[in-house]
Amino acid sequence: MDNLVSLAYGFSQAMTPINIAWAFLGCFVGTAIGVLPGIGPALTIAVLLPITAQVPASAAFIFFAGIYYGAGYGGSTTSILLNIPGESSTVITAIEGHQMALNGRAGPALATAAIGSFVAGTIGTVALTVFGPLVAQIGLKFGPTEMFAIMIFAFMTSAAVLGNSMLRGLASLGIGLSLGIVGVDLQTGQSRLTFGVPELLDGIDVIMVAVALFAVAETLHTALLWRPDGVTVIKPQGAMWLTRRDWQRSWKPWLRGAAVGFPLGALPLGGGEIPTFVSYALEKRLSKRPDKFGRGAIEGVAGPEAANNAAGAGVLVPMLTLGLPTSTTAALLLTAFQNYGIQPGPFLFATQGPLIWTLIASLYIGNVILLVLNLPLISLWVRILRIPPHHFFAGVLIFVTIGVYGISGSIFDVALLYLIGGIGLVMRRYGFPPAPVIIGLVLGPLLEQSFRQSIAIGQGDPGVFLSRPIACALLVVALIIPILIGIMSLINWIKQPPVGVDSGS
Amino acid sequence: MINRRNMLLATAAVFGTAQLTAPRQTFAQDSVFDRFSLFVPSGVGGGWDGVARAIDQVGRKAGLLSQVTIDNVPGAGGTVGLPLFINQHRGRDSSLMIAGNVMMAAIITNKTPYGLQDVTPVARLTQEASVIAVGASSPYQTIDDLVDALKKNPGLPIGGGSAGGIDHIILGLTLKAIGADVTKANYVAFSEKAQAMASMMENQVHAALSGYSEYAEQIRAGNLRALATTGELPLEGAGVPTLKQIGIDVALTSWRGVFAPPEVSEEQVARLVGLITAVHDQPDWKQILKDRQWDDAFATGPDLKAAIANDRAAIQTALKAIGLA
Repeated sequence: MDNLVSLAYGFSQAMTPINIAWAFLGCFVGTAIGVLPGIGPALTIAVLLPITAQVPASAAFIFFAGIYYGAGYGGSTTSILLNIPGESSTVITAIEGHQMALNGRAGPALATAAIGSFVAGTIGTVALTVFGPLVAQIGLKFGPTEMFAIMIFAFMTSAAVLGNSMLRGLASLGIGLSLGIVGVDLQTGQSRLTFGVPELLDGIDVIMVAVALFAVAETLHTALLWRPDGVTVIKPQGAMWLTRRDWQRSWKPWLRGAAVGFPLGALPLGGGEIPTFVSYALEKRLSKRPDKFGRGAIEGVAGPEAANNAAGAGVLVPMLTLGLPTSTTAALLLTAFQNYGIQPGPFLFATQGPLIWTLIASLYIGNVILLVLNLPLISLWVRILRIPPHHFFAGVLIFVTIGVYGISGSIFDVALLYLIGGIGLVMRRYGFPPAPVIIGLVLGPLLEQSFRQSIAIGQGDPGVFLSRPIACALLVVALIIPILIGIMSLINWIKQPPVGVDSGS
Repeated sequence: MINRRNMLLATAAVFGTAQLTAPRQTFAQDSVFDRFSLFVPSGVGGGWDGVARAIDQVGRKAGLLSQVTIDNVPGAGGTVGLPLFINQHRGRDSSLMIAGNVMMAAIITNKTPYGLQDVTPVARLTQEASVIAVGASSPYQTIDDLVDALKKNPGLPIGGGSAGGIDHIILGLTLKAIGADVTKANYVAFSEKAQAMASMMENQVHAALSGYSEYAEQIRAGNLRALATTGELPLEGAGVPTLKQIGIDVALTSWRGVFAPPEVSEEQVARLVGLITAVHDQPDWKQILKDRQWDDAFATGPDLKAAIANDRAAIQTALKAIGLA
């Protein structure tokens, strides 16, 4: 009951005209950047983080939440109409949704994606409302040993964020982990890899790395290698709305998608793709006509899109209650909290209750705004896709350069931005995924600290991890899960060719 | 400009009654500091930043300051901002940097070539004593229990804030004072309060140190038990002795104050001391101290110099013993 009262308070705060305006702006920006390939919510939030110095915390988080949820909606549009996943988590939608569009069913594909996102996004937010405070209660008992175990769990199960090539993904992760070592060691106060540069003593800022890898590298890549290869945008035509039959085929996948998406998002598994893959596989298995999959089955759009948005709400659970970010966007949201002097963790609901409940309330409101924004305005979003990318990216580059200089007032940071951006360009060119760099940079130091804190607590005895029941259990599961996933994917692979092989037609 | 002047006069009129009783009456209209600069060598929202914004707020309201700019240069315990303040504000008579003894420790551990001796101390404003606390279910009932245990095994895990910070230094000084081997100190640095709290409640660390306000709520709620505080005087409402009272010669609090740039004349320093004294005497300042639970530690002149010298020696000794200097 307490939660309901708090939530009602949150709604009263989130419903003020100015906060509705922030939510609307966030949803609008979020949808736009979701639609644009190559620009995601992580980059957008990184670029817009300086507003935290100007606006109240509630407004900033309502805005960022709008961007976060909005990108999930917008990404599906690009996938369906262009066959380019706007976000990594809409790869499946690009396969099945684009097939629907080719069959002249772009309208229903967009509609089932948007409504599915709304339904599952709302279910996910309800789950966040219920489980957030519960997880925070459990989190109160989490000391360094438990945090170490849960992060090992996250690392072991996040193989999917590594991308298509395991080796490249691990290399990216290694870059992130190395960048994370730079700065004053928190346990002893000694500086590491700072080469006498005082600017490096506090370590390398995750925002700067995100901006460098996503904005600078992407822009340089576009400038150097972009060819106007005539991407064709399918114009949605025919019936825009779902038929009775479409509704019948969609509602169960929406609910199942939400049921799959939220827990997978909430577990520190890392990466938005896993829930969509699981949902797709589930729908295919449950379908009476699995042969339709890959040729434009509406279930294959409805389920993964729902799972994607429910996972978005799930990711917020460990971020808010344990201070543990499991996606790039979550890592940046965590930084935004820290900009306000707020440390997400088990105490967050107690110490920042009004802010958190306002944020959660704004997620409900944002879902409604997004549904309204997306369906009727689809032609507007399609038009955004006609902006020549080079114009767009040039603006982004100027914006981020000024932004990085504006935050720190330091030329050193600008130089570092372009240095890492240059590395990012090489990575982009040769297919090294940028997300593991961010995950490594954020989680690496946390993992190291909790490991060393635990060892210090055990006075040098590593047995400390086994003496704590929760930590021990998590570590055991962390060892079992990758083995299970390996066996399962092997079985799947033997049974049927991997998803996507037959989609190129 | 006329509008601004009128605003100031109006503000002065509103608060005229309060000023009548305050000793800062001698502060004539012509000594308003125009285009004043407050330099904060840390990020927006931290403790130093809070002091800067409080000086700005109180000073402008009382008509002591106008056109105040606050610059934040965060990084490395203040040692990124310090050289900038030394070089860019050199000789300026209307600039103050907010800093404290935490910066002394950062200067020593980061081995920076400049220090607080390069700037001019103006005033100490606030301080906070640390508390040594344990989880409610801990076997240690009093500070003596903990000290006895540390004498037997100085390697017991003790938690606190960042390594090389005030908490770490207090642990080092305490171990030294009780005759234990400081090199065996097993300090667990927590950057998150929640982690430190969980480790105490589950008795993973044997005790932890922190600024009193950080733990005050949990101590009142009975989740943590305070054993001792680290100031010269016992903390009101804490109900526990200071380390000094039980015969351990350690008294260290974390304090914040203001510093003028180098190459500022004695008259100019005196004028700045007058300004900060006037700010400190405002009822608004007292209210801010109360609201934020800041402990008033106002000191200027020789008192301040002595305190700085004292702290520097203690911090140097402790950091050396811990192996950081």
